[in-house]
Amino acid sequence: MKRVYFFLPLFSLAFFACRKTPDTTPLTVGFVVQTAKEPGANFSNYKTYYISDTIALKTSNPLDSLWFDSDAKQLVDAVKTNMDARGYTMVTSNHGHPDLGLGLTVIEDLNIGVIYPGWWWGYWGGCYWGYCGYPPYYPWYGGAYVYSIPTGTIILDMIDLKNAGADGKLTVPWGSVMSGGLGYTNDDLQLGVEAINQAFEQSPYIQSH
Amino acid sequence: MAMKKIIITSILFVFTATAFAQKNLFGIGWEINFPNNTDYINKTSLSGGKIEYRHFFKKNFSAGLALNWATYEEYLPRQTFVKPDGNSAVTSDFVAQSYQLPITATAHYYFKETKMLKPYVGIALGGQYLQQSLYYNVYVSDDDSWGFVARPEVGVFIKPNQFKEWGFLIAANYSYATNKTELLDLNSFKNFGITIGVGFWH
Repeated sequence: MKRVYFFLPLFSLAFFACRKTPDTTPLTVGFVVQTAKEPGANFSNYKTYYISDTIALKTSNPLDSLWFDSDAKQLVDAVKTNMDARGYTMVTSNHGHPDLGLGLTVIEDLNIGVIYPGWWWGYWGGCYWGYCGYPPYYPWYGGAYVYSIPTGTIILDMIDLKNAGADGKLTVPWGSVMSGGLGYTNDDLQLGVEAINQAFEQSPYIQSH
Repeated sequence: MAMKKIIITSILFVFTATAFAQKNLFGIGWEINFPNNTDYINKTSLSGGKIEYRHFFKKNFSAGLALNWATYEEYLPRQTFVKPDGNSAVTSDFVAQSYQLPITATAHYYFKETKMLKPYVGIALGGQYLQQSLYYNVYVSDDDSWGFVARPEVGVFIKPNQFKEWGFLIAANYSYATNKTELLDLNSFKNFGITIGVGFWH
């Protein structure tokens, strides 16, 4: 009987193990889409917007800074399509005094250990036309990478140009961070377009009227 | 900190008491747990276990220590979660996992024993470690916490032979813990549990 006393706890611990690794195979490849708006922001105050065809690009290559080919245009067009559908009018140049400035940034990096958009936005600065934006509060959950694979992150910022203060500071009434692993499908770009559509879908308050 | 004191005091109490041991019981078991938390994992967990020690101060009363553990897991299809203030939202599918580890001091009262059955009621009080994890796309977010836990329990030892010092154990408990999970806006963790095991005493 004494022997049983000795072995049972060991057997028991080994059998049940402390913690199972979860089965993550059901997870889909769709980007995680987060959106945040400034509390109290009223989107019907704005009627026009401008977005550049150029996307700010951050990769492990320090020479990367701009992305403006046809692929980049697909992401920009996705933003335009959604903004138009919500009743906003695109002005053809940033000299046309748009109410809102939209900016896209894409990060492709193997080496970012943890994404904290709070840190991110500070790093990137969100500066437009000489103004620097205040990032809205962003409720990121502090996720870490599980797998060592290429990942992509798209950041979409909406900047209030209409109410630019004399001090040169801007507010960011809305923003989205979309991210996920790359290389799971033949068309990572499509994941980006779907993520931008989702960002607007989960933000029904973005309406010009 | 207060929780640590309670646990340490309980451990000292029980181990001091064993110096006067007349009768001790050691139990192990498999645990099936049914989470009872609104708007989170609902799926039954089959991955749980228990180790416990009881010291009998009287024929019908024992005090002891118990260690339980359980892993809950559920796939949550792609959906949009909106924060209560309506200002922020996140869309993804998730694999949600909760890992529960209550460490408790126990007290049990035993009803009249028959040749085959030794029924009891009990309470377990102590601290519970809880780790809540959300896996999504290629990411994971974790939140771990300690809380106070109370686990009332009913159970019975079924003795195949009244002269042998062992019996099968079947028990049911309800567990309420005060673990707060900021990640999920949860302020407690509740579950029902069933234990199927075996107990040895001498």
